[in-house]
Amino acid sequence: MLSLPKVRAVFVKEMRDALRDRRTVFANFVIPLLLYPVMLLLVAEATQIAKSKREKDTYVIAVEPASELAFVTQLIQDDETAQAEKQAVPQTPTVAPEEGGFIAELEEEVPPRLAFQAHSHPEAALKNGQIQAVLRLSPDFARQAEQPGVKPEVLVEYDQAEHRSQDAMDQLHGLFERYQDRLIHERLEAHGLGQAFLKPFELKQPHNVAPAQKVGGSLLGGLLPIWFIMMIIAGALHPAIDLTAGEKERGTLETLISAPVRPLEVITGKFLTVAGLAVANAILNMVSFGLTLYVAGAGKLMNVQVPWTALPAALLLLMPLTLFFAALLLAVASLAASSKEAQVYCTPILLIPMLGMIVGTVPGIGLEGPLTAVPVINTVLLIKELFLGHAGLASTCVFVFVSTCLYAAAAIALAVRVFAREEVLFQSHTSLRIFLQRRFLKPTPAPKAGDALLILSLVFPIWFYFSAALSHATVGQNQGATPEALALNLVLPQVLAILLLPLAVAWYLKVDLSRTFLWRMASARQLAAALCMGLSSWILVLQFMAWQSRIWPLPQQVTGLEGVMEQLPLWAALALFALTPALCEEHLFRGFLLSGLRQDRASGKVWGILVSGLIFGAFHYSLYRQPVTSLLGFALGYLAWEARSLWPGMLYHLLYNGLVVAATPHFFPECNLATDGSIPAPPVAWVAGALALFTLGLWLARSVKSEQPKQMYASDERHS
Amino acid sequence: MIEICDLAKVFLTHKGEEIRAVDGLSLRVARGEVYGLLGPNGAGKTTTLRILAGLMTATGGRMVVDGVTAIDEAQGLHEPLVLKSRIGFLTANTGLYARLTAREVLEYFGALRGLSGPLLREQNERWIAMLGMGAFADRRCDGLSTGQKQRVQIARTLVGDPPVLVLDEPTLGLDVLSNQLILNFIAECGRQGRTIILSTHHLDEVEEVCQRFGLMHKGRMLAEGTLAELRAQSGKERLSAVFRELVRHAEGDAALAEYQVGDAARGPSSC
Repeated sequence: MLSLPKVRAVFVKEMRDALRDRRTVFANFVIPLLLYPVMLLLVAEATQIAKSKREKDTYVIAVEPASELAFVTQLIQDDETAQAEKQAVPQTPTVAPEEGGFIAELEEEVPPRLAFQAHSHPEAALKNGQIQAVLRLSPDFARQAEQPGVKPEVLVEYDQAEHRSQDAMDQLHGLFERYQDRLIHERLEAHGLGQAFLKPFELKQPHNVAPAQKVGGSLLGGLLPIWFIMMIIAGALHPAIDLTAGEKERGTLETLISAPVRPLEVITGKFLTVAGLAVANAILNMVSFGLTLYVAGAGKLMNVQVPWTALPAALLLLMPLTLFFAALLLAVASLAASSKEAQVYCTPILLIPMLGMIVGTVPGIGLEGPLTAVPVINTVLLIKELFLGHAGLASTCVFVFVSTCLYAAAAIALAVRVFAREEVLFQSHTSLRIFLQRRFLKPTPAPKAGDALLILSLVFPIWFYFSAALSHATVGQNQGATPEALALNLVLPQVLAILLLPLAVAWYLKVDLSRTFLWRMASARQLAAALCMGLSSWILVLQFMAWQSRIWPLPQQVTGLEGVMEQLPLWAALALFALTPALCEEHLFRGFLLSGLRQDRASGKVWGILVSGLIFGAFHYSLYRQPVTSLLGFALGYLAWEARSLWPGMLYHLLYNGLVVAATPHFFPECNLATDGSIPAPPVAWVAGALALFTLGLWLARSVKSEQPKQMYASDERHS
Repeated sequence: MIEICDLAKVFLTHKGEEIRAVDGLSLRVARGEVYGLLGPNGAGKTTTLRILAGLMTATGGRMVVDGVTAIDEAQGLHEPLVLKSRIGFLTANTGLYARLTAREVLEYFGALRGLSGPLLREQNERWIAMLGMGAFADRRCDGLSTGQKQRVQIARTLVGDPPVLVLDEPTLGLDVLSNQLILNFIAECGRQGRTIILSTHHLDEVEEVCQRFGLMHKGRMLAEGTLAELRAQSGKERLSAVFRELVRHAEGDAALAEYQVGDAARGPSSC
C-alpha cells in the first residue's frame, strides 16, 4: 500500500530542490508573471512608434506626364480641404469610441503626406524604393475629366512587396475615387438629378449582432487553450527531465531507490512535484494574462471583451490535462539516460498542442462525436465553446473532465511501469522493446494497480470508438435501429472491448489468468448469496430510483432503451441485456480491475471495492444512473471479494439485469416509464421482502470463508 | 547476518540473448563480520550487491538478511523492501543532491526510512559528530569536496541504523586521509555489530579491515576464506597477488593473458 509519509517526503524534497533551481523558478514563476505585461508593453510601444513614424512620413509619387503635376497638386489640396470640412461636421460614429480600440486608433491617425514630383526614370526609382508609386494619367487629364463623354485613364504603379508603396497606392486610389464621386455629384446636380438617380437604394454596412464577448470568445477560445497547454508543458518539461533523467545522470537515482521506498511512492512524489509546478505555471499564466487584460484595458484595445466567467471553468478543465502531460513527460523522460536524451524524447510531446490548434481552428469542427473522447482536442474545443458562451455544456464538461482524468491516470500508470523497471534505472540505453515485447515480461500472479489503470485507458476509447463506428455502419444516422443491428451494437463491443481485450492484455502481461479473473468455482453458499442478492436488488433499485427522482427528476433522455427492448423476443432481450453484461462486465470490473486494485488485505478491500464500483458506475455513461450503478458495483465487488470467485457475481449480475428486463415491465410497468420525471415506488411489502432477502445474501456472502484466501492474497502482496 | 545461496542473475540483451552476470553464487556473512567481496571488473560484484540491496531482482537463488528470507525465487518470493529496510547501501556511482545541504540529505533519507521528529534529529547529529561533518553539515552538497561528499554518503547509508551495510567501492577517488577515515569507520561499524559486505578493487588496503574475503570471477565464487586461509591456498602474501594466483590456478594462464601488457607497449627490447 502506498505510504503517504514517504510520498510526502519525496514531494517536499523534490519541491525544495526544484525551488532552489534557478531554471525552474525562472520558467515556472518569473516568465508567466512577466510575459504578458512585457508583451503588452512591447505591442503598445511598437504601435506607438509605428503610428508616430507614419504621421511624420511622406510618400513620394512620380507623376506622368509631368504636365499634370500642377493638376494633381491642386487636386490633393482640394481633397484635404474637403476632408477637413467633412470632419468638422458632427456625425454619428459607426463604431463607439470605447469599442474602437486598436485598429480604430490606427485608422484615426493622420496618414503620411503625399508629395508629387516629376521623375525622369520613375520605374527604376520605384524598384529602388526612392519613390513609393507612379501615377500615370492620360494626357490632358484635367480637362478631359471635366468633359462628359470622354473617359481618361488613371493608372497607379506600385510595389506590392513594399508596405509603404501599397499604402501610397491605397491613398492615391482613395483620392481619385473621391474626385470621381465629386464629378458625378456635380454632373447630376447640373441635370437636376439627385444622388438617388445612380443609387436607387442605400446598401448599408452589414450589422454584426454578436456581442463583443462572443467575438472575444471566438478569438480567445481558439488561441488561449493552446497557449496555456504549451505553457503547462513548458512548465512541466524541465522538472520532469530533471527529476528522472537528471537524477540518473547525477547518480542520485540509485541513492534514492536504495532507500526502503516503492517505485510507486517515488514516482507519485515526483509526479506531484511536476504537476504542482505545471499547475502553478498554468494558474500564474492565467492570472497574469487576466490581470494584464483587465488592468491595462487590453480587451478594449483589441476590440474584444474577455469572457471572464469562462476562465475558472477553463482552468478546471486544464487541470487534468496538466496531470496528463506531467505524467506523460515523466514516463518518457524516465526512459532516457541523460537530460539531453530526455529532451529529444520529449520533443514530440511539445507538438501535441499543435495538433489541437490545427483541429480547433478548422472551420465547422465542433465538439461532437469521437472528438469528445480525444485528449487535448476535446479540452481545446470545449474551452472554445465555453468562451463562446454556449449553454448546456455541463454533461460534456463532466465527460471531458473524467475522460482526461482517465488518460492522466493511464499516463501515471505508464510512468510507474517505466520507473519500476530495473533496465530503465541501470542501463544507459533502454529499448522500448522491454515494455512492448512479451518475452521480456516476467510472469506475475495478478496485475498491478497500474495495469488496472492501463486496461481502463485502453478499454474506454476502444469501446467508445468501436461502438460509434459500429452504430454508424449498421444503424446509420437516419434509420431506426433494427433488432439485429441493436443486438450487434450491444454484443460486439461488449465481447471485444470489455471481455476479450482484458483477457488478451492479461495473457500478454503474463498474469495468472485463473487468479486474476477469479475463475475458481464458488461453493453452494456463495452461489446462494448471489441468488438472494440478485433476486432482491431490482426491487431495492426501483425504490432507490423512486427516492432519487423526488430530489432529482428523471431526465427524458434516460428513458431510452425500453422501447427498443419491446421489439425483441424475451430470450433475445435477456441474452443482450443480462447474459452479455454479466459475462463481460464481471470479467473487466470484478476480474482485472479488482485484482489490480487489491494491493493488500488491510486497505485493499475497501479501496478496491470502492474504486471498481465507482468506475463501474461511470462506465454506464449516465450521470443520473451513476449512484445506483455504483451501489450495484459495490455489492458485486463485495461478493467477488468475499467469494474469491467471479461466478457468484456473474449470477448476481445476470439475475439483476434479467429481472429488470423481464419482471419490471410485468409487475411494475409504471416504474419503467416516467412521464413527469418522477418514478413511482414499488409496494412496501415487496421492498421489505427484498431488503430481508438482500440482507440474507450479504450474511451468506460474509459468512463464507474461502478455502485459501490468505495464501492467495499474501502471494499477491509479495508481488505488488 | 547475510546468507546467499545459489544466487543467479541473467540479463537479456535487446536481441534476447542471455548474459549470466551472477551464476550460482553462495556466501555467508556472520553478524558483526566485515566481508570483502573482491574481483575484477565484470566479475558480478556490483550486480550481486545491487540484488542484495534490493535494487535488482534475482533470477534464481535464495537470500536471507538479518534472519528474514527476502528472496527465494523457487517460492516466487521477492521482498525488496525487506532488504532495503535492513540494509544501508553505498556505491561509488551514487550521487548527492547538489541543491540540498548535508543535513537535509540525512533528514530526507531518514523520512524515507520512516523516521521523524527528535529521533531522526538525534540520529543525524550522532552521525554528523562521528564523521566530523559539523563544519559543513549546513552547506549545500554542490559546495563540498569529494571527501566531504563521501562522508555525507556514509552518514546517509547509516541513517535509520541498518544492521547490514553494503558498500561498493566506498573509497573510490578519495585522498589518503579520507580513505583512511572511511576504512576506520567501516572497521568501527563492524566492531559495533553491523554486518558489512565491502567490495573494492584496492585489495591490499582492505586486508586489515575485512575478516573474510570472497573472490568473484565471471559471476562465480572463486575462493573464500580468511586472509590466512587464502594465503595458504595460494602461497602468496599480498591479497592482490593471492587474487592473481587464484584466478590463474582456476582458469589457467590464459585467463590473465588479457590483463598482460603487450610487447608493443613494453617498448624496444634493448631498453
